[in-house]
Amino acid sequence: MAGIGFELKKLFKGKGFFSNIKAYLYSALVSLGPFILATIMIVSIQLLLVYMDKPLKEKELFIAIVIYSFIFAQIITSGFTMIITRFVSDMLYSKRLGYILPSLYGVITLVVPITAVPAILFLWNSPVLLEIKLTSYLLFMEIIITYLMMVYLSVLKDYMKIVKSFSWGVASTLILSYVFIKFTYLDTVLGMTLAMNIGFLLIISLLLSYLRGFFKIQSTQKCEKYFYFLTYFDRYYSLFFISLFYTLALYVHNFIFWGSSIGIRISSTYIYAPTYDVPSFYAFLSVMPSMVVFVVSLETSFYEKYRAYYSLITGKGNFIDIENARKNMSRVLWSEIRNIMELQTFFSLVFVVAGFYFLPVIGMSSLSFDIFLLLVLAAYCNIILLVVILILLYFEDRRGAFFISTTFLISNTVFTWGTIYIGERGYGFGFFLAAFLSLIVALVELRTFLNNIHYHTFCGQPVIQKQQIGLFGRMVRFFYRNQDQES
Amino acid sequence: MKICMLFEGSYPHVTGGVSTWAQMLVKNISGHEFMLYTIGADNKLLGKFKYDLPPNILSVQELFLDKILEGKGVYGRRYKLSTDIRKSLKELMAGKDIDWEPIFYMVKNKKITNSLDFFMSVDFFDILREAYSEGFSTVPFTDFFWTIRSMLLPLFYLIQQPVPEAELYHSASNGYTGFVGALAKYIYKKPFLLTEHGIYSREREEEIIKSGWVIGQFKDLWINFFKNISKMVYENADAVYTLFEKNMEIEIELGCPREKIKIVPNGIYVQDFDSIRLSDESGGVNIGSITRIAPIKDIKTMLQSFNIVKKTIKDSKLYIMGPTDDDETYYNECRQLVRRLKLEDVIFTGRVDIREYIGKMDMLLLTSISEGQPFVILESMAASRPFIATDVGGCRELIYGREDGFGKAGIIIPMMNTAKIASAIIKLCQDSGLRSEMGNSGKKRVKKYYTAKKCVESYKKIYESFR
Repeated sequence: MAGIGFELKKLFKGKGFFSNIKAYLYSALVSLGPFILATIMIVSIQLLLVYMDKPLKEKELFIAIVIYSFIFAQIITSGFTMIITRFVSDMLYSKRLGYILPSLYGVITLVVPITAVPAILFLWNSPVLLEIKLTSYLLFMEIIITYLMMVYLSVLKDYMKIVKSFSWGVASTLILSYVFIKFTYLDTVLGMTLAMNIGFLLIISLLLSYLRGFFKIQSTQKCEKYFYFLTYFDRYYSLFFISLFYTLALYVHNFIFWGSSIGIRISSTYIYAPTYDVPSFYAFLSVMPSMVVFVVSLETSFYEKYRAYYSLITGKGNFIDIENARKNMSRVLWSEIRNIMELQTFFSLVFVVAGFYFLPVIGMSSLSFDIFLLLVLAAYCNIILLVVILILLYFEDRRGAFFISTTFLISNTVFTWGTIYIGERGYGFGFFLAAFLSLIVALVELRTFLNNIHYHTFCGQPVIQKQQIGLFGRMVRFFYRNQDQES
Repeated sequence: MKICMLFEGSYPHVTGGVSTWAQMLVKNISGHEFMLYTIGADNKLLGKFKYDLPPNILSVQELFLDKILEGKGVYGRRYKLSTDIRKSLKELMAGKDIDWEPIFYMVKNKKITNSLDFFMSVDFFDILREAYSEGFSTVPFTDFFWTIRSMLLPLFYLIQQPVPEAELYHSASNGYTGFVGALAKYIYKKPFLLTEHGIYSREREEEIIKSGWVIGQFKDLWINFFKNISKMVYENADAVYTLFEKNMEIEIELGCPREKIKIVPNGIYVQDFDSIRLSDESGGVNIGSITRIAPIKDIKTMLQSFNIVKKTIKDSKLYIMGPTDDDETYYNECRQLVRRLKLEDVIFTGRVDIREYIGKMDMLLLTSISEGQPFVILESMAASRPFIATDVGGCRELIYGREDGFGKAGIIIPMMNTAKIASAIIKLCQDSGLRSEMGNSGKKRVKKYYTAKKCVESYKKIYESFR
């Protein structure tokens, strides 16, 4: 007899699953690693140069090479690291460990050539010694690879291994620098960059052998799909832009100052604006402790409430229970954010006070010091902003996170341009205003999201569960068509 | 006159009672033009008609519910819905008494153009939450949410499809097509007729109760949903036709006003079966069942019963004649059962020419859980064959008659009762005199009440009265 509609509904009964997405957090923590590494290297080599009594000009070129490498490596890899963070954590969660290591080779194979083009164009017409161009290029690539590897290391949560590898790298760089400068006729900058090349090669080798060792033991299945992770671009392309825009926003104010009248050109190649860059570096140091504390606190108190909420949803919770879990989670989350704000207020004050005493000693101008004060405030807003973005990613609110990081990038660009027209008394105010505005946007977004989280959790999932295969999915399928037939 | 006929899971894509009836009508009522609006489950059937469509069919609009699965919703859209509409939607979700007018208004004015967008909107979620808090607040919310979504999905898919404009709407079943018919009446202000062969909401109810995938506490929700639709369709129809009295009583019980219902029985071309004589003289008793292999036909009970028969009547054979591809899992289960019982002489013939096979049968059998007014009973009676059927639908009326003096044309048995079914079969196997007596009674009854001519004439008159 008539009546078929009913049978069909079997197809709709599937429910979405909530995957383990803590990974964003660890990834954010570990990404501080290269930043700390850069700081240590620059400071120690500076000390070495002072000790060996080398001219200022060579010191400047060397620092410019190192800073450029770190900043642009961070920007270029930022989008990719976010995608592979998601990929790696999903693979871990679904116990497909065999896919993890190949994706590291895949992403390196992809990012290195992409970056090579602008890097070569940048160095091509530079009057810098060809050998130095070569070592700078290598350094840049090595730092990119290190950034990409950090994602994989964050998964293992074995931070001591990272610290150890980094220590070996720093130590060998220092020793080699000393040896090259003291006992060879190499150009000083060439010698130091070469020493860094070798130091980073050591770091990469140590980390890689550690990763290989770990995943070889853990995975029995063999996988040759280096580019399988590309399929994640179909679903999570917004992660790429969230991370890229946020990272760009972190530096865009510096770039704008480089192009302004206070920009200085080193060896007709590297531009920078020490009046602005130096205070912004010290200002950013002030937020490091908060980042670490945040990761730890979110891990313990909040994650428990977060799990309670979602397990009621995937389990058999009625609405009142779910609503109570939401309130609990929301309460804990806001109290964590308040704690972070209090803690960061303390650290910011400490930095301001310490800066008041020490920065003039290292020769900082009063203009730079004024900028420093504003940028400490900006860094304060920025770190809370980052915290909110990470929380939103926890809740899979990529739309909100994207909106925030876009706001941050655009407002920072516009306001910083504005302050250049205002002149010296406005310096630093643009970034502060942008970070402050974006923070307000982020907090409002988080509040609205938490109030409507039930709706987002339920209706954010497609009505009909199905695998969407997009452009990247089809590409990957095409690449591996032969392998798939074999298996 | 342009008549839009609406079908769900039947004409012209699937063979069966409704389809046979429909083909008979459109072929013989040449004075009118027909537009078909059909709902199917599987898009693979698109354009694949099981019948030669007569020239007075102007168009066939084919909708397939699995098309829904191809859709994609956008998340975060907002809708401006009046409080009336929200209230009606809430009642629809909660399975309460529904004021349908606002929902029809909403459809007519295209308030929702993509149902998947709507299902992902805040408005939908808010309405759902209200429905939940008013009467479901102790059940798991997630299950409630998914149940409501999947329950409403086909309905919302259908209402966003255009309905052809015609002068009269005639739905061949209640349910989704009944809903569309009532909607068309609201939009175009034209009369709407309903012919119900089997009672739609009862059939759904049986399926839901049996189904393993609807969680216990949500079965009522589903059942009420179909009951509500049925009731609305009864209320909106200008006239309701059904095949036999028992159906009419159920319809009244389900909320159909008595004065709307008229009985118009099925009819067959009696002369096609008139001359069939017994053709298998091999000596054994042949029991035939002309049916598709599907759970609703309860083939397993039939096999169990035959297992009992086989112990007494060694030379009996069971022919199960009809398509096996309808529900392959069930068909395989039946074959396994045959093997497990070590049952011999069970023949699954697949699709066959009924007229050829009826000749070989000594009696015919149906063990269905649900039936309307089966054509196979009419046809077997026309061929003077006794019929054993379960006491469902219009079987009793056909076989025992409505005190018309023709006598019994077979035996009515309770459903799922293997012992009683077996003893009825054994009784007929052992008494060839009774078989021919019952065969003759059946033939007389069919000739008097159940001819195609009579059925067609009735609908001709009905259509004229709504001109």
